[in-house]
Amino acid sequence: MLTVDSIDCSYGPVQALMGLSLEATDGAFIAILGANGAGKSTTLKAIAGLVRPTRGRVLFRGRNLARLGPERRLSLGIALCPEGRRVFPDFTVAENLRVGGHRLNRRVLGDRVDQTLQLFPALKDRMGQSAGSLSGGEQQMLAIARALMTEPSLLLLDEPSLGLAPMITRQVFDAVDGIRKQGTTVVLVEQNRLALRYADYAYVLGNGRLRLEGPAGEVQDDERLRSAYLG
Amino acid sequence: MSPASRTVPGGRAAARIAQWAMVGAVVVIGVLFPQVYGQDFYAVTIATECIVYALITISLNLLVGYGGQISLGQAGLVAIGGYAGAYILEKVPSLPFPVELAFAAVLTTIAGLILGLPTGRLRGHYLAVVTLGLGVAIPQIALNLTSITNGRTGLIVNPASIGSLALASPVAIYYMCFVVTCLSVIAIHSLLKTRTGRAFMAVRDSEQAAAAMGINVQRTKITLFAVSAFFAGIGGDLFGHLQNLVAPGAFPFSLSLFFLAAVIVGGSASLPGSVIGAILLVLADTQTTSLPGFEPVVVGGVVVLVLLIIPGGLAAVPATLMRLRSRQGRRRARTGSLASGAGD
Repeated sequence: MLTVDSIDCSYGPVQALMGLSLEATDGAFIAILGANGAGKSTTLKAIAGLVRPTRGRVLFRGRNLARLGPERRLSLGIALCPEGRRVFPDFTVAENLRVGGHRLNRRVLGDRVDQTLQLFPALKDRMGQSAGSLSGGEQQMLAIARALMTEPSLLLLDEPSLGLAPMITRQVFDAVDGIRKQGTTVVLVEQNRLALRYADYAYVLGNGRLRLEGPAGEVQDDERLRSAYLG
Repeated sequence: MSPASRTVPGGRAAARIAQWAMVGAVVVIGVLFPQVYGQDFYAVTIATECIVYALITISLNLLVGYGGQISLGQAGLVAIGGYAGAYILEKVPSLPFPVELAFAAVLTTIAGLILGLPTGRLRGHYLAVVTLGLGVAIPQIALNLTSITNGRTGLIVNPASIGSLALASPVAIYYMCFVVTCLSVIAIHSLLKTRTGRAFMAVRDSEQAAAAMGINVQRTKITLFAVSAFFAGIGGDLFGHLQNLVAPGAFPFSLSLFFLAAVIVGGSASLPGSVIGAILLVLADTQTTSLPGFEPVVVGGVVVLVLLIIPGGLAAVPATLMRLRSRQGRRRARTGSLASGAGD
């Protein structure tokens, strides 16, 4: 479904990714792990179209995405839930979801909000509340719900556990697992190794390069996982 | 960003009622003002100035408060609107007022579009400098483009007319400005609730997140500049009618700063805040006529004073009061239950 083929990305003189390749089959749950600055977020941004690779290709359903901006990729079914939640604090929960459906037809927008909230009952009671007043876990759920508004077939999640208590992290991962079970392919970027319990395949990055890959269970026990974190 | 919008859920209904009561009061006062003070042309003119400045302040607040951009050249856009209206009226004196207004608004919108183009690459200080450049350049262009603008002398603004009705008296100009401003505020308020309005604020809060939602950040910013310019152009046309004259000297850089100060004093991303901020600064400015040369000191003093007391601007007053009251209420409830000995 998704093929990232040896991409390089750089921010000015700083090269963030070097020859990274990865693959996600339809319905897979992929985890990308690594320390701070390993290039995890950049990978997701390159897939979503927020960053342009200087080399290599990103293919989605066999189609080269090189010339497509983030809006077009969203229409194709690639949705990104950005790092640090980034809900719009002054908007209500409902308005945040409506922004998520920015590219949807006006007539289906209301229905889509209702459908999405079915997956997140906790948010339903807080429809009229401003997103800034939600707890961290609720904001993360909202950010995920917002990304689901366009019914993506590929959901890119950038460190949803950031700043959350372990129990809340588990709830968020459970929710993501539920989304995956409904058929959405998930690519999850994480520092938290708990992600490996949910994912079926994992890639470990270090300093912009692929350090290790394999079925999540094997990666979990691999010594090189530790060394990737410790540099 | 603005504490005003982060209301406690219980206070929501009350806040809504208070909002509508305030809108009603403003409209009633606005309609009745000339009925009471109609003989006092000075008072009516000052009131008209408040109304026009409020509209221009709101146009800038769209850009600054709702869009997260910066402009130090709003007076330049106002000048374009003013000159456009004056010019077309000079050529076609019988032109109906709505057509004249639309002409001024459209021309200014085009200027705003052009101003919005570099926002993809420019932000923060750099954008401030570009808009500053526009604000300073427009009066200079007006000064030198004598064939259209009549140079330093400027253009006399003919009275607006609708059919055979000429809107020449101060009271007629007052009502004209009042109606146009009310309609503009309704339009802006509605716009902010649409997809486009939400996109403005989404881009303000996080360009990355907005882009991830499929919002075209660059197009949204350009639209924002165009919309802001549209209403600045309307304000500029009204400004011309209010002054009876548009001349290069009427749009100094300090006027741009005045509008920015009104936005900040009123509170960013608040329409009522902009209205109150503009009125407060216009009134403060009128008090300075006895202190020639000290106008900026007085206006600047008001800005500093308000921001020292209420950092969020005047729009943050209700939320601040409400928070104080709920905190007080909670404290009273706690001490009350202790006093009655009702523990757990």
